[in-house]
Amino acid sequence: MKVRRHRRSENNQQEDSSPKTQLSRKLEDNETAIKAIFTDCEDIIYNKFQYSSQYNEKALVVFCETIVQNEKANLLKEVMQDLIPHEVGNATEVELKEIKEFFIEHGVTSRAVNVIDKLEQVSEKLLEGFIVVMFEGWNKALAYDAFAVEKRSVGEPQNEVSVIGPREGTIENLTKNLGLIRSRLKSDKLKVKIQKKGEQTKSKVAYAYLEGTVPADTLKEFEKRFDEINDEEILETSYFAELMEDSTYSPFPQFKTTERPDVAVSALLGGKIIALVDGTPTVLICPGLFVEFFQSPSDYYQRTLFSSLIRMLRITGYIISLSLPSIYIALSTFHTELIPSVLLLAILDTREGMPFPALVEALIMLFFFELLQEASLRLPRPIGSAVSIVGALVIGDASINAGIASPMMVVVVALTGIASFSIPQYEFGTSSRILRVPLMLGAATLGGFGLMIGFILIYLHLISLRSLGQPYFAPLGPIRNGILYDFIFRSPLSKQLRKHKQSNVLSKANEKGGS
Amino acid sequence: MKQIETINTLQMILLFQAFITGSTIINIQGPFIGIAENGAWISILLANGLGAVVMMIVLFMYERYPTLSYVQYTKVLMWKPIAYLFGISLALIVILFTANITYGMGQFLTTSMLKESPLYIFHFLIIMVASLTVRQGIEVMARMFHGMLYFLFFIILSILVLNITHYHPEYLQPVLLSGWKPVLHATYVGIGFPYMDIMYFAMILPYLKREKDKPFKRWMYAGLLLNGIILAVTIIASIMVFGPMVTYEKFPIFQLARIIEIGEIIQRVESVFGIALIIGTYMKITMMLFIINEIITQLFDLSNKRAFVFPLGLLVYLFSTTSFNNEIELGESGLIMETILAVSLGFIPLLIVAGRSLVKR
Repeated sequence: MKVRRHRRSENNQQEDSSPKTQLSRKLEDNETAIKAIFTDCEDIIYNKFQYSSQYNEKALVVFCETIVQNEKANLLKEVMQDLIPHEVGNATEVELKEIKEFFIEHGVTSRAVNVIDKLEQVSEKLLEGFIVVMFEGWNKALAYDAFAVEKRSVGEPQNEVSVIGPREGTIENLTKNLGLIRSRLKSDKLKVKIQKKGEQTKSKVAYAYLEGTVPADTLKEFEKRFDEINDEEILETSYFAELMEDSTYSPFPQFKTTERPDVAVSALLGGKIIALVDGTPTVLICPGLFVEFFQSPSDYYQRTLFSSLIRMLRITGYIISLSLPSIYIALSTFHTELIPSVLLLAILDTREGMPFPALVEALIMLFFFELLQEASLRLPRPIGSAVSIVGALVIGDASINAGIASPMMVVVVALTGIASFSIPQYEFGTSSRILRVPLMLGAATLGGFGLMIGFILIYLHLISLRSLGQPYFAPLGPIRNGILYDFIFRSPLSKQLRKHKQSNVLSKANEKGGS
Repeated sequence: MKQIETINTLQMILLFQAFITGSTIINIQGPFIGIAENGAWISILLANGLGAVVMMIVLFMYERYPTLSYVQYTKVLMWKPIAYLFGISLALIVILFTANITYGMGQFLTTSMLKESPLYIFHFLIIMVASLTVRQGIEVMARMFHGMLYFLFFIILSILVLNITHYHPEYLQPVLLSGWKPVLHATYVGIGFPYMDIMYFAMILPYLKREKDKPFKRWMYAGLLLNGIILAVTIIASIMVFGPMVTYEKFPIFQLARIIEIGEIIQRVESVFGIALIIGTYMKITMMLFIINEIITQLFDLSNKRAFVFPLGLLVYLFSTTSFNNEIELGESGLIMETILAVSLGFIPLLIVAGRSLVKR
């Protein structure tokens, strides 16, 4: 496994800011120094031991109890055990001299051990869940990794359910997540880089890519932005996404997220970079392009024809979710001649006695709907279902009877709501929820022209938006016929493999062609 | 944003097509048929041929100075004050014609679809959107218009195809009802609008990134010819559907969309098509605004191009709301003045500059 760690560079940085304190030869001095750092931290445990034949040698074991849950903390014994086979003799007869010699020479130990000699390193290791062993008369300490915190076990991700395909989802542990990915992609081309970010949290952040598949300029841009993040506290991958994305105020997410290792692997194979943060299951896939948000992981587990049709359904769903209320407003207030006369009469009939114009009616109903959506997210599950029944009644029936909304508007709003759930990525669906309202205002003031202005502005934004320097609207923005096909249809795997082989040629052509 | 933006050959050809077809597709048929009646399609092809002459000169100059725009090579070739005179006069006519196009679009909307809305709202919105687009630069424009042009062609094709049951080829006869004079008159109009516009395109040409293996000039001529054919076909289709009545229609292509009727479902869909056709005008206005911005910034060597987009947009907006009191004035400006102004203030200076470059050799 090619896991490169950047500890060394970090240590250098710390040296710059504050000079390091050497550990003392006297055990008591060390203990007071550590206690001075961890005042009021009662989960730091100090255990003193005596050893050697006369029990006159002293040792100190320090660790942080809360993150070393599964360990029996008597590592001193282990230290001695390591020595016995080499030095021959009783564990009780081990002397300090032998210990020193053994660890400085890096003898074979049963567990990985770090020999450290700075006070800052001791505190750092303690917080990372190491057990630190110190000896009287030796100005170095031994640190054993014993980190253990209860984590959720690997289960099916709640938000990305697939009918066919693996049921594994990522969890809140970075190493395990990387393991899930690595076990599916057994290639030495898979490069993984881990760094620590954040002044207080020191979150472990990793990114991985498949060498040779990922475009060089994208990787360069990613690494540039990745290195710019240093002191920001990162609790979730979304923090990371926000710090790295091209346009923070855009309604469109510029990175995809997933909780499925198989999706992450397929993204890696497609030349994407993935980023993970320790403590959260979300995997970030960058760069994310507009059209990719319409693709669902299960597309490739189902039959081509069906997947292609479903994908078209999703695209239609997005268009409906974005523009149906505004189209309805434009038609019913400005372009009534477009509606077939019988339907127009029916609409007029239902709208009779409505106190509000179509825009206000639509805004009220959409507001109800959004409110209901937010409320059902926050409520505890047993109450949630009750609220949704009441909400459905209020939106559906009561509002019609009370004369707030016409039945046609309820149909429009309900269809809009359902359509907005058809997009596989929740974050992407929110863009249509945001953009819907300005479109409605445009349609209500200038009809079709207002709608068109709105669409041109959205189109302009999408075209000028970039994700990690790549054009966001790619196969549609600069039209690339070969790839555009994949947007609407899920092409058969045999074709894709052929395309994969050509991809090198293609990416070179793109570099040449520019824009 | 990158300092030097470039677009590839295909994008340049498509930009040219968007530029030349853009607003003409809704505006040209009415006046042409009004003047030349059944011979209008001959006039458009004749004007198209004259457009090829303009294009020849523009491309000739482009071959000599591939990295310079019209304003830049004028400054190189001519005596400074003359260069400024040419540049300013070009800027003025382009501003006027952009205002003209904007007013034409507003007119189209207020007379056909949104009859009660005031003109200035349409002008304001379209120029605002166009300015925002220009600020994003030529690359974004090229990408955007690529898809939009396909959409526009799709719309035109569907109008033509969905009317297939309404065509009466016998209406095309007689072609020259009142002899050649009206045909030549319409050709005169066509020289000013749209074909003199090719000259302004010389401001965009330097953005082309040359690819040696791809023929560029040939495709530009082909694009020009395609434009002529599309316009001629829409004129012929209008005549075939409306017959002698067509001369009374102001926007025949819009009327073509109006009479589409398929079953009980697809009928009176002109609003959809009308609004789709506006996209052409939007593209044209955007590119004209871009050209104005290029002329002004290059003429006075201004480094920050983006800063001048909104002021110039405002200028065009003010022009568009104040230049014309009514349709008749617009018609006068478009049908009579435009050709004179474009030839005298645009084409003749271009000829002089081209002649100077020949002499200099």
